[in-house]
Amino acid sequence: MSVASRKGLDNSNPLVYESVSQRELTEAEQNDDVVDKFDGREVFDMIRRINDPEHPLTLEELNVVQIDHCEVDDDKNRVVVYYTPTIPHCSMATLIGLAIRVKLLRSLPERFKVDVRIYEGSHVSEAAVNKQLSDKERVAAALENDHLLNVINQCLTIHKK
Amino acid sequence: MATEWSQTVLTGLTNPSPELFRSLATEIDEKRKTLLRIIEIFGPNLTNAELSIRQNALGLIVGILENVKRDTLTEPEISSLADFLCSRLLDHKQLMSQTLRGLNFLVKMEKFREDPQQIIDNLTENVHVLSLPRLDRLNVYALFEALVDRFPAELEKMGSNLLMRYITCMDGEHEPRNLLIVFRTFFKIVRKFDVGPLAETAFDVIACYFPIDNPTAQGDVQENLREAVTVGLRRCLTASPKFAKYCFPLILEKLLSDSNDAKVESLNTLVALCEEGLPVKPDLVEHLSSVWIQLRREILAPPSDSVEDAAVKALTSVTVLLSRGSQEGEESVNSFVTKVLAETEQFLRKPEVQLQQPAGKMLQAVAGGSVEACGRIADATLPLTVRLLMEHQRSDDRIALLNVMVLILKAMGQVSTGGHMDEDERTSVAVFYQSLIGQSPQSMVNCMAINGLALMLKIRAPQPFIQHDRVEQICETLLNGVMGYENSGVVDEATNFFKVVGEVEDEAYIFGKLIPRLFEYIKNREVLPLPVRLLDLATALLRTPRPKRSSDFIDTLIERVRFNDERGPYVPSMKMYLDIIATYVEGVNGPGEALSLHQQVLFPTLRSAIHAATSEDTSGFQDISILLSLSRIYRNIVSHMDKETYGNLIKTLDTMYLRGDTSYRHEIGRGDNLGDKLLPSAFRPLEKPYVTTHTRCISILTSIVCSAPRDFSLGYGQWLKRVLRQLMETCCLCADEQSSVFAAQCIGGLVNRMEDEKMVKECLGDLLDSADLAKARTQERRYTRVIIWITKGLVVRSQPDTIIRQLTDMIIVRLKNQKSGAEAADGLRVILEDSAFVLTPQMNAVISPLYRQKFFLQTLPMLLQSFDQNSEADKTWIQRNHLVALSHLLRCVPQFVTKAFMPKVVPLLLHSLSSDNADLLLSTLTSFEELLLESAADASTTLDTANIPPLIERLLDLSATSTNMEVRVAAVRTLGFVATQCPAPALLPYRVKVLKTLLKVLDDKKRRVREAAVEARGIWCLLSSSTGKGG
Repeated sequence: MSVASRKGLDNSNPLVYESVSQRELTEAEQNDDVVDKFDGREVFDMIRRINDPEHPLTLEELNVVQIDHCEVDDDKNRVVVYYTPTIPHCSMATLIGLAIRVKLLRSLPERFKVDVRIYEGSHVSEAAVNKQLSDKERVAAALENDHLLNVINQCLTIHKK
Repeated sequence: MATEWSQTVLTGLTNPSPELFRSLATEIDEKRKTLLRIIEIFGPNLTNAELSIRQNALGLIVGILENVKRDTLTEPEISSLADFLCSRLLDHKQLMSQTLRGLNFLVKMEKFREDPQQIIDNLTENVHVLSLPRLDRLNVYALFEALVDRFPAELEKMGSNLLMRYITCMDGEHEPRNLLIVFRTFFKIVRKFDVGPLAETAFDVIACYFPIDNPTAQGDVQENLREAVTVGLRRCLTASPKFAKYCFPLILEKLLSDSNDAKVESLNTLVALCEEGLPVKPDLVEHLSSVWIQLRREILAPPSDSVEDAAVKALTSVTVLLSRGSQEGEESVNSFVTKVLAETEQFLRKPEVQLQQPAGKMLQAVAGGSVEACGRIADATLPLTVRLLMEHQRSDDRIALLNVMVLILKAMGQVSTGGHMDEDERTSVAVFYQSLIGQSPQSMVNCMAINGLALMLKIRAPQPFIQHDRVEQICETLLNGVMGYENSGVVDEATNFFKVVGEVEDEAYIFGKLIPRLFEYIKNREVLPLPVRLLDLATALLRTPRPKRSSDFIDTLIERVRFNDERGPYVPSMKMYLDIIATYVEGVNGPGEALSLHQQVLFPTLRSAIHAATSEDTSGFQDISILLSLSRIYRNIVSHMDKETYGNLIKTLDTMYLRGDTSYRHEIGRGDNLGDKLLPSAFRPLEKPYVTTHTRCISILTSIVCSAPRDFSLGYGQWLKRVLRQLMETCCLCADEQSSVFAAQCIGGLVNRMEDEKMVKECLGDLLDSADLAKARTQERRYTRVIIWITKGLVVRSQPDTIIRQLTDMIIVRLKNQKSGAEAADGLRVILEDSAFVLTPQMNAVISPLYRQKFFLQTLPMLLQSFDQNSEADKTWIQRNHLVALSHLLRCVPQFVTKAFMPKVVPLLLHSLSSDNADLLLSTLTSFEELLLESAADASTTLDTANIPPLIERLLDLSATSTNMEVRVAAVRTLGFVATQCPAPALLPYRVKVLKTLLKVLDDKKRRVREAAVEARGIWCLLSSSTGKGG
């Protein structure tokens, strides 16, 4: 209530989606000798609990990140995540992208080349945001900014439900 | 002497101290001095022109009053003190605080006989309460409360004047802690005395506070205080029937507000007003239509769950209140119910508006209020809903309607009425439900239909809602149609239905028809994968407590056990039937039933088991799981036997186990032709050469001799001596490991039941020291096992320290023995964990409360000492044994007990983290996890900062290098807990290193480790940021 009534929200009444249940443990995962490969679900699990900067909801609940939009190739060391801002003119799109990037930076082994992109056609300034997010220098510079880092850290703080 | 004493008193003026007050009070209590004498000494000070001197003198008097016993002071003394203190109320403001305290103490004196009215007058005329500090205000209210409690008769004369004076005093109070007493006293005054013309004024004063709103309240204490004040205010608002006139409009007004808290509180107040038992019904009737409109609104479109719950509750209370009074009650309820029915019917009829559920809730709430209302709603709604269900074919609509039915049926069960429908109508509802079953096997409709039938079955008054024949038919339908489906909600519901049948139908039907039918069903599928739910169902039916039971069906089960043994043997099927018998046997009711079960179950199966043990053919009865199932049955039968039967049974066992005579002469009075002749070999379970099939039968012996009836004593005679000796020999020397454990358990169970310490000592001497068992004792590992079980038997009954200390010492010494070390370390687990086979309360074992804690407190220092003594670094296995023992000790005892020892234990636990034993590592990591979580719960961390660096180092090492996945997961998780629970400054130096190591762990081959690492690393990343310590 209080968040929605605050001024300047881009999307004051977003659709809330159900979150997926915990990944089921397979027999192979219990076996110490089998190597578990990275897959889309694993990467999705890393980012689904990131908090939205505006709403007290997670990116999963807002359908910003989806399990089918996480592409992982363990052998070629590639991870590509597409995310969908709730509305096409969302001003938080870059911030959300940055949060996903930072989370993956902290959660994936160094060998992976990670790309975070806006899902095609879901945002007006798609190209600009994608360019910003894929520019390593700019990402690093953004993280030097204490205020920005703080906001991102807040997004990444896990709230136990 | 006297002057010296006066000097002491005078020092109290300049230098007041609680000790002095106390000593003076004691002297007065013991009549060595009088209060008058003391006051004489400093009398002039009380009227001194200097304020500070007066203040000191007054402080001394109040100090003495505070400490003096309540019956010491005499009436004249109290009288003059009261006058004096009242006069002080006019004195300087700075004296006010002391004066009020003094008056409070004085009023509590037993011989206080002053006129309370005068004190109240003095107080209210001379004191401006609102301008006083908080504590002084509190004293004023407390004074009021004390007077109201003590002098109701005297204060009665004041009439409404008292209330007037009180509300003048308290008006404007805002401090929550004071409000607690303010509201309490207000309630007492309004309840005890006439409110008179002041009702409206008084209500207005109190209504200002409604609803209590304290958004800044944080933390438990504040939250509790708020809750307490809210309850206090609610009591005030509903304190007098005269308030009702003003209270209903207030509630209705606040219900219109935006705040959910205000709504909930208004609804709670409405409930309180209706349930207080005051004659407020006319006021309710006057406001009824507005109340109904408001409640309906809150239920149809509830702003939150709490509002909805409160509104439903309020609706019930309103109905309860309306139904009070015989004739007129019926009328007002009737008209109310008519209105509710008229309005809800439209929602039921129009599925498109989707308001069936809230409509159902309203109906349920009203129906729950009175039998009359419930009857009318049932009469009107059940047939209507059935009709609608027939019309609607969309499953969503049907489910919604069935939900409404469920709610109404629940209400009917609660107020126990079946409505006024005649039998045909009731049956037609049941038949309709029955027809829904099986239409679509997996669907929700099916589940809800069965659920509805179960609810109908629960309605037994004034007559059963469903007739017995119908119940039988439904059971048959369910058994034929539904139980075949595995793993579906329908089966759950059906199982639940059968459970209700088990509760409401009589035993003739249950044992005569239902259970045999069920077993027939089971029998036909016993070779298929066993239908687990059916077994659950059978167990549930057998467990339902009933006055009379019939064990006829057991013969069939034993028949099936034999059949499965001969045809297979099919051990799982045998075990299943035996477990069903065991469930039935759990409910043995007295020696009579035990005796008949002895004949019916114990004797025949025991015979089969012994026969099988001596036979060379394979038999299901040789299987250990079957023997354990048998033991489970025997334990329950035997522990309920009377002394005589049990004595005979022991004699039989004696002939069988010790003399190898298996002719059962004791049982059947003559030689059995099944006896020795047919036994391929003699039965010698406790003698060489220790045949495994024989020795395993010790499990049966254990279950019988260790479950002796409470009043039966085995003594410690020749017989028991012999049994114990042979058991010990068998335990140490037999080939079969499992039999050895059985024997040790048996010894433990027998020792537990010995009557006095002398016997125990004698027995210990025989077993542990005597020469003829020396050979057995050379088997170090097995011997340790015997010691462990003896210790367990004695620890459980909290034997005096010396014996236990001696035995524990023997165990701890054996930790350093290469052969028995591991067994000894595991022994602490055996001692502290509950065993299912021996030393349980069901077996009449002597169990003392908190024995684990006692044992822990005694053993931990011994263990730590032993650990310190062996500093030889080369013998790592000794250390490991100690650490394993320690981990068992810590795991089996609640955390609040272990907490005090943690500073000593943590270094050892750190040591354990260097071990390579996965079990030990996991157990230690769990200990650390608990320790860390606990330290967060109460701010004082039990983990010393000095221990954090080595802990982090070890955890990092384990996370990266351990070969066991579980260990890696636990280590990484614990690392995360370290970051959330330990103070950040101690962690920051390690942040970079931890992040670097965890980066490697992020590429672990196992996903579970990686997931844990992602979480832990996330927390460590946030460590330095201003968002705190990771949420």
